[in-house]
Amino acid sequence: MMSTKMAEKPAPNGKHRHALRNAFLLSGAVAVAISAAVTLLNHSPAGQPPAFSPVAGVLLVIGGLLGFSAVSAVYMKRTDEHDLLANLWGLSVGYLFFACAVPIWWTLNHSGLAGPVNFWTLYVFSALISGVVWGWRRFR
Amino acid sequence: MTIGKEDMKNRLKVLRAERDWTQADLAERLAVSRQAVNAIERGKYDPSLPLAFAIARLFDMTIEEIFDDEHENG
Repeated sequence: MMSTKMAEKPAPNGKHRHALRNAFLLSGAVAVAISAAVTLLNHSPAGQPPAFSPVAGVLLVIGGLLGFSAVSAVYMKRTDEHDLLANLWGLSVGYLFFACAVPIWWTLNHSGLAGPVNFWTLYVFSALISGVVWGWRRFR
Repeated sequence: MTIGKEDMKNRLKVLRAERDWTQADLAERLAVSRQAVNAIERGKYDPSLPLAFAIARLFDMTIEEIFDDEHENG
């Protein structure tokens, strides 16, 4: 049962209304920038050292996890039940897509009908599907 | 929300118009997003019990006077 706190929390004033949206957009932009940098820098021929040092890699992971946790905490504080439900639908459908696609692709691969499972491709498609479903439930 | 259930009807749009409030005005009073108000008015989303009570308190009415699940009694 949803807590009464969500229905009774004070309404955000004008200057904070888009803070969450801006935080998400900024996080997305940072993620795209890091992904682009990794892609561009990681053209290491065989035998060459990787683009990131182990220390930098660990720091990036920790920073990313902390940043994601902070954004999630802000989101949970500011969201309303409608958006939360849309998010749950999006995440559920995205996960179901991934959960079905992996064994299907694996089976097709072992039948000689498809290449090896590309988890990055499935990750991107799962995220896209989650976003589409969230957007449909949120703004329909 | 229940899959396959008929969308619940409500008088939210009428009540809002009587007070000359925009959806954003009502959303701010209820501490929800404008999209939530729009979805409730169009019957695309059924509010939770706390939110339904908050809506009823805001309009000084009972939940049954605002929302109608079109259930036939008797």
